Amino acid sequence: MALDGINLDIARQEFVVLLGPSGCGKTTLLRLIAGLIAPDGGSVQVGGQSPRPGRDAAMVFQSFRLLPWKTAAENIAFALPALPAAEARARAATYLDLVGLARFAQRYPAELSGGMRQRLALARALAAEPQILLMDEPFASLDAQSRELMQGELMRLTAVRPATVVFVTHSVDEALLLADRIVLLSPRPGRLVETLDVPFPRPRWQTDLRAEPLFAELRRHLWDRLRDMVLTDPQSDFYGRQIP
Amino acid sequence: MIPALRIGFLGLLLLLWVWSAQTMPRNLIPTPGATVDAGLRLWAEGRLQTALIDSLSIYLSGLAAAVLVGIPLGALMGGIRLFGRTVDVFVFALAATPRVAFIPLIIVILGLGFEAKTFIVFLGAVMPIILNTYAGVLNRDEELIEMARSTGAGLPRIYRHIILPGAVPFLVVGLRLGATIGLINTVVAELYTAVKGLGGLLALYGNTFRMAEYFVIVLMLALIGVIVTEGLRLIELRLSRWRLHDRL
Repeated sequence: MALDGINLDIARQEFVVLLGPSGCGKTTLLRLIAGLIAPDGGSVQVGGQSPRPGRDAAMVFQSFRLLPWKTAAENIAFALPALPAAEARARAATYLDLVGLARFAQRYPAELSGGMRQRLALARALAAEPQILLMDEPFASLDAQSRELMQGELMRLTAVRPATVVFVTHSVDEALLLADRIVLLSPRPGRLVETLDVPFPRPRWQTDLRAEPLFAELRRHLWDRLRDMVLTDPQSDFYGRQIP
Repeated sequence: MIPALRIGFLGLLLLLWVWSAQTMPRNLIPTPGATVDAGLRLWAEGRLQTALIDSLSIYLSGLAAAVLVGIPLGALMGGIRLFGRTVDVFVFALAATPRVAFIPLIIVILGLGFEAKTFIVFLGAVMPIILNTYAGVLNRDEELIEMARSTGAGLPRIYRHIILPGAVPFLVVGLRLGATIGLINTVVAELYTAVKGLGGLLALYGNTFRMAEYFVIVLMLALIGVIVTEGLRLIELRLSRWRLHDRL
């Protein structure tokens, strides 16, 4: 069993971050919300219905998952199977422009840098105009600079086009920076341990939140809980270690 | 750079040919000049064209049939795991059996004509095409498929845009092997069934020690091989344009 007793309501246009150590079932939870797998027990509903792939949610993955044999524009159009081809192309152009990749519409993913590839993957998900955006550690494979820039980019995009987002991360800082609400999950099986409202006002990208005393306090709190979970998880690499 | 080196190597081969034509006793190896003369003579008589048309029609029909059967069958074996797991050992076994062993049976059933020859070519070419398509489909990227499913894509869309494009490098290897084995089997078929075409001329001139004419046929076969495999290479380049951009 990957998940147990998760009871979670997500409001429209809320930015929820799922935070937890490896093995807490974050990815499984995203797949459930996307409708890619069905729950063994309980139910998942999006807008009052069981989720159906392609209708309710769009996903952004850590490994980008772009089709290498398609151009940037074709990659976006591929994710819109329900639209007629001309409309899909127009939609692709709009969203490429939104993430600043209009000039690269005819390029292949191999010609783009890591940050550009993830912007393309983000544009592909947004282009489906989903009810929920599901992001599975989307920036984890980027270098530190691109990662910080992408966080800013995501904040800007969700301000321009308000969206409901469920975002998975291992990073406490990233969670505090992006979330309206942080959901802390424990590993094996994944249980909901704590939900925490993040009170910082929006927009957040003009100021550096990390300078705020409250940021440090919340960070300390979350990190203590995370560390305790990892150190008491028999399957973790750090089980039983004394780490401050 | 490479073309220049290739031409240089060709020159080296020609030198070797001239040298061995002069040193081998009893005119066993004809000079390049004698070979060209023989080639022109055969062309003027019309024998070369007739044989060429005979052989190419067998070769291309057998190869086309192998592509039309091999790719869908391989895709089916890779797509339906139960089917693939059930039959793949038999396909491996058949692929490992020397296909020449079936020729007597094929002659009994299909006779000595076009059908029998085409079938011999088909049987040789289809195996590598099936097996490589199978391997290519099994090699599919599950992460890309999950991404496609999350966009609501159905199985036909996933096959068309993810599984088949991902299998292209395997497909091309299969086609190249199939084309090579098909050409070998064309000659084999022409030697074992009704002796006609380029294979027939090969046997005729080889057995009567007309070495210049014999060399013309051998070079003709080599030329066909080069044209077909180069053609496939061009198709591969065209299908994998996106790979050329790997260097940013």
